[in-house]
Amino acid sequence: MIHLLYKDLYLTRKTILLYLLIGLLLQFNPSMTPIFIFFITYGVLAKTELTEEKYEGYTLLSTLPVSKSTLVISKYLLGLLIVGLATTYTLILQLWINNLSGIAVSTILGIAAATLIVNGFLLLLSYKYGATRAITYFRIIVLSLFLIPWLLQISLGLPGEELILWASSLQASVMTILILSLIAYGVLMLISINTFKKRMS
Amino acid sequence: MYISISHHNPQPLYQQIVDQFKEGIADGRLSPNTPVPSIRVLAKELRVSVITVKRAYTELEQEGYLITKPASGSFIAPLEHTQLQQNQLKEAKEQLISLINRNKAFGISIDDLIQILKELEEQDE
Amino acid sequence: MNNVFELRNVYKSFNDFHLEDISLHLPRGYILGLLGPNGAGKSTTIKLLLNLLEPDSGEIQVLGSSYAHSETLIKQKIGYVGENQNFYQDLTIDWTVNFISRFYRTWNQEKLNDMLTNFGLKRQKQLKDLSKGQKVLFNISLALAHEPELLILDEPTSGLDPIARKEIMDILLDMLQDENKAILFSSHITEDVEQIADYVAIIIKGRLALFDTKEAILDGFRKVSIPKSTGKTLGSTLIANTQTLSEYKGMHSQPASLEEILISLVKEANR
Repeated sequence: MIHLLYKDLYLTRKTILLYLLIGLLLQFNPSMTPIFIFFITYGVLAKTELTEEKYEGYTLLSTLPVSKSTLVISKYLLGLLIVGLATTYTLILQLWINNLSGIAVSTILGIAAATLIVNGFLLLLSYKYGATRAITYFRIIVLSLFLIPWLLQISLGLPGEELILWASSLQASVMTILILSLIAYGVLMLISINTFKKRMS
Repeated sequence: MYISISHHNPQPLYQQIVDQFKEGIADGRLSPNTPVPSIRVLAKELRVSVITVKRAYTELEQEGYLITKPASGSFIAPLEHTQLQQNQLKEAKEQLISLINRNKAFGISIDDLIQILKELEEQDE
Repeated sequence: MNNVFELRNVYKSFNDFHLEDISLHLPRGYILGLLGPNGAGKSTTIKLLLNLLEPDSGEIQVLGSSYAHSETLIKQKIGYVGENQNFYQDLTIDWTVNFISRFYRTWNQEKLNDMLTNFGLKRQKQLKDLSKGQKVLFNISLALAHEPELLILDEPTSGLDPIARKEIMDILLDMLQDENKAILFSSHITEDVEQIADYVAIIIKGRLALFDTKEAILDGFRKVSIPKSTGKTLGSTLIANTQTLSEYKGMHSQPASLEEILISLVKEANR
C-alpha cells in the first residue's frame, strides 16, 4: 500500500510542486484561497489516473500480488493525503500572511470537505469510464454546478464575502461536515472498488 | 561429444539426436559407461524442447544403447561391437525396405537398385 | 498437484468474439506454446489465467488454488511478461525494480543484477529509452526476480531480431533446469514454439483446435505428395492426419512442420 502511494506521489511530483507554488501566490488574495485546495487535489488525481491509463498501469498492477481493492483504496488515500496536505498548507500560509483574518478556518475546512467528496466522485467516474472520458464528464459537471455560480458571484462584486458569511453560519457544525464528507468519501470508495472489479473482469 | 542438430533437416529433431548418439557409440567417441548429460541440460545446450530430448533418450534406452539408473543418471550401455553391428544391420534392412517400396511405384526394380549400388562401389574403389 | 494450471471447459464471451470450451493444462517442468492466428483468443486465454478476466463458466485452477480464494498468494508465484507491456516509461530501471520488488516475498536481487548486466541494461536509464528488445529482456528479468513457479509470456518474441530471440529461448530453457517450474508462452511465430515447447495448444476462432505434446502433434501429421505418374490427382501437397492416412501406392510422405500443420488447420476452420 505504502509503495503504491509513494509511486503515485513520485509520478505526480512535478504537478504537486507546480500547484504548491501557485497556491503560495493565491494566498495573497484570500478570496482565491478555496480554489487552491480543490485544484491541487483534482490536478494530482487526474494526472495519476491519466498516467495509469497511458501506460496500462492497472493491467500491470493487477498482475502483481496485490488485490484490486488495494489498488482502489490507495488512490482514495492519495486523494485524502493531498486534501490534508493542501489544507494544512493553506492554514499555515494564511496564519503567516494574513494572520487568519482574511478567511475563516471553518471556510477552509468546509472547502476541504467539499473537495474530498467531489474528487471521490472523479475517481469513481474514472473507474467507470476510464480516465480520459471521466475527466471530460467531470469538467462539464463541475463547471455547471460549482464554478459558474462562483464566478458569477465574483463578477457581481463583493468577492468571496457571501461564501465567508455562508461558511461562518455553519461554523458550529464544521466538524460534522468534515466527518460526513469522510463518510461520503468512504462510500464512494466502496462503490469504486465494486466498479473497478467489474471493469477488470 | 558434440551433437549438432538442424531445424532445416527434414528428419525429426529427436531422430537426429538418436542417430548421432548411435554414430558416436559405433565409432567409439562414446565409450561404454560414459555418463551422458541430463535431459534438461542437453535440451538447454541444443536449445530444443525437454520433451524432444526425453523422447530421444527413451528410444535409445529401448534399443539398448542407454542405461538409466535412478539417482545417478544415464550412461552409455556396454555393448559389444558385434551387437552394434547387428543392430545397424537391422536398421539398414528397414531402410532398404522403404527404399524398395518407394521406387516400385516408378517401376524401378530391386535389380536396378543393385546395379546402382555396384556402380557406387566401383566409384569408391 | 502436478499441473501448474488447469482450465476446464472455460467459456468467455464478448460482443464480437467468444472463447468456447477451452480445456487446457500444463504439467510442471514443461513449456506450453500457445499458437494461433491474431485475434484467435490467445491473449484472452492468458488474461483468464491471470484473473485479468473472469470466465463466464468453467473452472480455472492455478498452482493448485482458485482465484476466488487466494488471488494474491497465486500471484506471488506467477511471473508475467505482457505483449507491449509498459511500465511507467518516465521511471528508470532502478526505480522500477525497487518498486516491483516491494510486492514480493521472495526477491533474488543478485540474479536480477546479473541478468541486467548480461543484457547491458543500464540501471539509470529511463524505460522509454530502451529498444524493443531491451524492454522485453528487462521485463523477463523482472518477471524472474521473484523466482516464479509459473512464467507466462504473451508474444515475447514478436518483432525481435534473431539474437534477442535466441537470448529469450536460453532464459526460458534455463528456468526449466528446475523441473518444478513451468512456462506458458503465446506466439504467432511457430518456429519458436516448435523449437522449445514441450506441449502445443492451437487456438483458432476461439476454439481449441489441438492440444498435445509437440512430439505427438508432429507425429500425427504428414506432408503428403502424390506423384503425377500414379495417375491420381490430389493437388501437389497436403497435410494429412496420420490416422486417416491410408498408404497410397507411390505416395510420398514426409514430416510436416508446426507451421504447415497450423496453416492447414486454419484453412480447415475457414472452410
